[in-house]
Order: sequence, then structure tokens, then C-alpha cells
Amino acid sequence: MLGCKQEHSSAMLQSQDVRLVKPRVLATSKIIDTSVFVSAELRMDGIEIYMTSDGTEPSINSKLYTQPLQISEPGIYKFKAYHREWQESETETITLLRKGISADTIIWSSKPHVKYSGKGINTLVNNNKASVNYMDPEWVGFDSNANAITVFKEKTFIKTLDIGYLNNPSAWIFPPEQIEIFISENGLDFVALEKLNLSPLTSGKDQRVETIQMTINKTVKAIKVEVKNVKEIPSWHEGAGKTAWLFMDEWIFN
Amino acid sequence: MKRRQFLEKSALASFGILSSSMYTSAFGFERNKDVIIGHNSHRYKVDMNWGNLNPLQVPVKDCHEIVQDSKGRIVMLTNHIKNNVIIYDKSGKLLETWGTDFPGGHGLTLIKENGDDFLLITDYERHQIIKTTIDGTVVFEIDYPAETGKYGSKEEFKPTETTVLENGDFYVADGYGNQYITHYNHKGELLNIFGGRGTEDAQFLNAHGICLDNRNPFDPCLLISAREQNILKRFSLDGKYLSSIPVPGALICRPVVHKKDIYFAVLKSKEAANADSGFLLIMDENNKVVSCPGATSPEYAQGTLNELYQSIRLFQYPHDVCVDEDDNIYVAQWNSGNTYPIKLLRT
Repeated sequence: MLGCKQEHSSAMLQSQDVRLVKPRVLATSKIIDTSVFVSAELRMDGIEIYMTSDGTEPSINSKLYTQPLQISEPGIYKFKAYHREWQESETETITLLRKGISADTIIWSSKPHVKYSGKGINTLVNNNKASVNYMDPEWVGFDSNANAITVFKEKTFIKTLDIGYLNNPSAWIFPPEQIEIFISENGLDFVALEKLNLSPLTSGKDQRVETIQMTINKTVKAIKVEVKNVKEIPSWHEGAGKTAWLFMDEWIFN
Repeated sequence: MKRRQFLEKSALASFGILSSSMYTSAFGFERNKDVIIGHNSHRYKVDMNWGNLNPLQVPVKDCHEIVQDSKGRIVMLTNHIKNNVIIYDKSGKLLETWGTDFPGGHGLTLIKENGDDFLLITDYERHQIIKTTIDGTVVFEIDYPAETGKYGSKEEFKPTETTVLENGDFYVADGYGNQYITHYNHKGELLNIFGGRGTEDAQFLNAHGICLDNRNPFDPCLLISAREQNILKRFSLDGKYLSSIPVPGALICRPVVHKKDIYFAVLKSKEAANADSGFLLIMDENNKVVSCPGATSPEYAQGTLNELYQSIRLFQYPHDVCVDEDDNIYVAQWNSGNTYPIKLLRT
């Protein structure tokens, strides 16, 4: 055979220039009571999905995903799709949390938007996480600040509070600007405990369910949470200056 | 020339399409291989450079729709009022532009009338349908159908699409408004109204596109997309509901009948990690999905189509397709960083 040298000067798009989408990762629940099942897929011939369970970035040296996993340990699980023709995907992350301490009552001093009031006043303490779809009724959406007091049956030692929120700027849904925690030993008088400012988004199209952990480390009867929505949509966004949305799915008290 | 190359590169780099030099992978790449997308009988190579223009001279906002005229030219409608209509030849060379009055220019349909080409444009901001000659002279404008009693004001009428019968009758889909389909004769006189917002068989959520299906000349019907519901609905020409064709996961824009097949731009996947999750979808003569360029392979189990979703980050928000006589596809995209159409070459 004479060297049939292949010509590589095509003007057409080349496959290594295009990324795979993230694998679809589904969990029977993101809150672990005893155990949950987690599956990952990208329905395409020749796809391999690699994963880690220690929060590190997956690579082709990580564990190859072959079948749904039964998981009983909370943690950060990461998945990445690979294919010999296409560029590897970005990393899909799923955070599994231990079931928290049940709240007795939750008293709201602010109202969610009527269209996104979730499954009622207990949506944020019902032990159910939401999917990434903002229409999921596990989401509670606010176009204002979100303030509520959670009361426990007994005085309880609370180590941390995990607040789940949605990041989806293309649907005008932004992370909160600030979270402030007040605690009460008697359920009536509250003292300020912690205030956290989140760094504002500077760009982004991806939709992600995020969790932020607040440290409590106190024995309390009640906790007041004030979540401040960003005042207005930042200037880089198509909705600049207009009201942003704040979506939360769960508060977990550990 | 240098500037043009730079613009192309930066436009590609910002949306998941990376230039190869930025990357090295240990995964044993098959390098320098032309992308081939799609499934079964309908597979395509991708030309990202087709139709790219200097955005300072001929800018685009959303590229909403594309048609091919009788001369074989590719006619595109954008909502950029510097040049609402951009006309290319099939190689992507700019031929002419016109139009500065269509801030909500959305639907574009070709009418052939006694050997001459005309266009029907829907404008959801003007709340009107406008008929023009192929070079932009206005023939008539139609306002909202007040006489039907289905509209409280013109603002409720946000038409997204039209389709034309051989006798000149045409239909308008009010996909961003009250979701009615209105039927007019060739002079623009109202004959019928049906549909409306709702989840019943004969109603729509986001009646985004409409198209005459004359593949069987003895039994023509209307194809209407209920985009939010991921369903293509079939109606008789007198507005009676016939049947539904579900396309799970696919937010289909207007149907485009070409030869024996129906082509769709899919704005986005219903469930996806990234919002810019569009792809294309092609149905065969039996209205079965045979190919989804940019998405998962269509498969039927007991007659039910599996959920489709974007698999590679090539398209952002495809909004319309135009198929030429060689079966090549031109893809217009909404909200995709002011990018020009993409051409797909049938392999």
C-alpha cells in the first residue's frame, strides 16, 4: 500500500472540540435514613462514566460506574462521562446528607411566591430534597427575603444547619446574598449567632442544587433563619436590575 | 480576516465548544475526526463557520427562523432591527439584508403566489402578522382577531408562526399569547379560530409552531407543536383535533415538512443539567422519530418513545431548521450569544 496519508485540514467541526453533557445522576433520595440508590447515565454508545466518593474530581483512573449504587454514607459523589471521540463532560456532583433532627413546627414571617409555595409550610423540613427542575414542588420560591423560626420539641444540641438552594440564573434564580442565624434557648428570646455573606454570581448558565452549611454547635429550643435574596439581578445578566428569585428545598438540622 | 477568525474562535470557546489546543486527554482520542451527529438514516457533518458575518455590520440577536426561497436562497429572520431579514446563498455568502421594523420578528413562512415569492412574518411585539414581498415591501398587516371575543386587548396576541395552504389560506399560531390558532383566507379575512390555552387534546401550552402536512395530498392536515408539553398535535384543516404524537423530553419548535420527513429544532431538553440543552429531531413518514442530532438515540419500547435529551454540547437553543434540496440543514438559534446559523451536511 502506498501511504494513503489522511488529510486533516477539514473545515468541519471536529469531535474533540465538543463536550459531552454531564451524566444524569439520580438518587432515590438525597437524604439518607438507612440507605439510598444512586444511578448515573448518559445514553450514548461508547460512554464510560467514572466516579469518586471522596469529593475529588473523577478521572479515567477513578472507579468505573457500572450499575446503580446502594449508598448508606453521606458524602459528595462525583461523576464524569468519557468517550473516545468526544471531549469529556464536566463533573456532575451529588451531595447525600444524613437525615436531620425533626423540627416540631416552623413559623414563617415571610411568604413564598404564590406560584412556588412548594408543598406547604413544612416543605423545607419534610426530609425531601428537590430535583434540579425549579417546577419540582419540593422547591419553595421567594421573590423577597425568607425568614422563619424552627422550633424543636425539646431543647436539642444542633451541630450544623444545611440549607439547600437552587442556582439557575437562566431562570432568574440566584443564590442567597446573606444568611443570618439567631438561636433561642427558651423559644422566645433570640440572640444573633452567625451571619454569612455569599459571593455573588458573576456569570453562569448551569443549573445546580447547592448546599451551604451553617455552624451552630449550641443546645437550642428554636432557631431563627433569615435568608436574604439578592437585591437585584446583577448587571451582567439579561434581567439586570430586576427582582431575582430565591429557591430553597430543605433545611437539615444535624 | 484575522478579526473574523478571532470572533469565530471566541464564540466557539464560550459555549462548551473548545478549541483542541486547549486540551490534552489521556483517553486515547481519535483526533481530527469530523463530527457526525444524528442517528440511523439521518446523519450530518457540522459547519460552524457557515454564514458567519461581521457583527458590527450585519448583527443578529435571536436567529428565529429560516426558509429557502424559490431561487434557492436562504432567508433568515432575526429580531435585530438593524437588519431583520438576512439573505444568504447556500454557501453562506451574504446576498442582501432588509427590514428595520420587526422588534419581535419571530415566525417566517414563504408564500409562492403566481410565480412570485412573498413572506409572512409574525411579530410578537407588534402583535401582528405582516405579509411582505421577498424584498421587503409590505403587502398587508393583520392585527389581533378582536371579532372572535377571545382577546381582551392586542397585547394578548403574540403570534409565533404561520403556515399557508395551496389556495392561499393561511393559519396563525399564537404561541406566546392566548394559544389560539386562527384561519384566514388569502386576503387576510378571518375564517375560523380554534385551540386556546389548556391541557385538553384540542388545546395547547405554547402552540409555538404550525405547518401544513401535505405529504399525503389526499389527506392533508395541520401539524401544531405544543412545545411546553413536548407534543406534536395533528388537526384537520377545519380545526378538528385528530391525534397527538408525544416526543418526551423535547421542547419542539415548529414542524418543517421536507420530502417524506418532518424536521424540528428542539429549543432545549426538558430535564438537563445545563439550560442550553437543545438539539434537532427528525420524524419519518410514519411520524416515528428516527434521528436526534445532538441528543440521545430515539428508541421505542412497546410503541412508546424513550425520553430524549441532549448528549453533546454542540447546539445551545436551536429555534428553527430549514432543509434544502440536498437535505442539508440550516439551524437558527435563539439566545445563543448572537451567533449566526449553523449548517449541517447530510452524509
